[in-house]
Amino acid sequence: MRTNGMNNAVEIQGLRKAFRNFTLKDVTFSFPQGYIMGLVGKNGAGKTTTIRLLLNMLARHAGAVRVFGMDNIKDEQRIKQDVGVVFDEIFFVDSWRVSDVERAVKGFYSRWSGQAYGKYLKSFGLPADKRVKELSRGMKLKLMLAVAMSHEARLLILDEPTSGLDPVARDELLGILSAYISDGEKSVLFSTHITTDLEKIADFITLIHNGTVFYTGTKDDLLESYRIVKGGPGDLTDRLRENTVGLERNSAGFSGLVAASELKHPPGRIVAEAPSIDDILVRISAGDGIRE
Amino acid sequence: MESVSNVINSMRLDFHIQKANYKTFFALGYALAIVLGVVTRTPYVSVLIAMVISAAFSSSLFLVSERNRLGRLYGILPLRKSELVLGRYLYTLLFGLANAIAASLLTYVISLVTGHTVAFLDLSAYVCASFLYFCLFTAIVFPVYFRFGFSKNYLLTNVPLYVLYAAGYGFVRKGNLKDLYGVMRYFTKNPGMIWLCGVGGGLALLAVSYGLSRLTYRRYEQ
Repeated sequence: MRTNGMNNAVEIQGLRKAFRNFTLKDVTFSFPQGYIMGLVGKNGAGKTTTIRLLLNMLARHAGAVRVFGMDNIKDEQRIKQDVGVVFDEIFFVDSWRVSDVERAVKGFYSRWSGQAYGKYLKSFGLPADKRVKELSRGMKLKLMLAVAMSHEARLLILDEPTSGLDPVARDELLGILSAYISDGEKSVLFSTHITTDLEKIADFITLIHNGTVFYTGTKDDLLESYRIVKGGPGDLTDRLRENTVGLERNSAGFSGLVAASELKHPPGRIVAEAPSIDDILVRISAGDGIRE
Repeated sequence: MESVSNVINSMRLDFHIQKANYKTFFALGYALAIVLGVVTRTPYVSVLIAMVISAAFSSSLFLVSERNRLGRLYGILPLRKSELVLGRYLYTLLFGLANAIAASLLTYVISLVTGHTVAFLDLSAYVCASFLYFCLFTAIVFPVYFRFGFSKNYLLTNVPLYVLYAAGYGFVRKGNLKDLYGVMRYFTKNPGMIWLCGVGGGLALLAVSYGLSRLTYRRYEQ
């Protein structure tokens, strides 16, 4: 993974933000232009906080954020010309018609293209005269996407865009995103707790757990670095118990997540399987404790 | 440093945010102003009513913003917080001025209906006092709404104005109006001072309030 220089879409270094009941601690990750980074974690893990800090919607307590090599505070206006954002809930006035949205926001963007907006409305099946409040959840998502992509944003940031969407709408979104990055210049930061979406399209994954980064790197490395181990009651050695995350035990045996490097010489009848991102997320959320 | 085009865009955005409510405002607000102007046979009252309602309406921008989670929109637009604040104050000022002019014209129309003669000096006094009220209301509530939001503070921000109404009512009931004769005589002799106090005083209030809002909103987290 390229980690420095102008080729990175986003570089976050040692980001920290403390709230009364939650602290985002030393969050560090980066990803190059032209790729999709998935930001994964359970609800409340710190994904949205990270995104809001990136957009300077929250004031950070420590760390640095660079987008396309520019400081996110010093060059905030320039960066926001290049960034399109989709949140889990729409942020346009519900009495606006779809055509009003363009009138309200186009002046802010130097590269706004009315032609592109019209094209996206057409291809997404969004009627220009329909009011925002009359749109379905999937249509609202598409409207935010149309706005985000009509000013030639080089980075799309999506915060939990698929929660509450049916599988067809989710699949459509993934198709739109794949087409969007196909020029090799545009990038996507996609936060979600529905990890199956990311398994289809993400190149990189950053896994956040309780405000800290558990893993950041390529999706393939993540999936190769861990194994789900399963074995009978007698197969759980002390060493394996120490190194297993999210250990579950029952009368038939045990299962848990283990670093692949720990399995060079797996004991006895232990079965090791490639995990899904969901498996990893569930196991690290369960923590070091043992579930009986 | 604020960009002029962004401030104008911010004003335009505020216009779009309130656009859907304009019909209701003009239909109800001005209907009430006309009715009271005709019923009391005092056309000047229309100016007062129109401006009091305009002040309340302009602050509803914050309500619409809150209900529609526009904090997120402000957070993603290439728009500085200071530009948003300046744009909102300028938009509100323009709205107030436009209503002062519209209500003044309305006063003349009502005077034709009621057969009441409109004296320019009296109209000036009503327009300037109403504009001053509009600015005072804006100057009090905007910094609070920028910092703490609308819904939780709506009643609280109106307290100073209720105190003002109560004090004014008490003053009139006690028959202290005689004490104002000197003031009225001064303004009659110096009509330019009516405009200076009303418009100049109003603008000064808005300027101070803008500084405060800008300062407090800078630390606001969206």
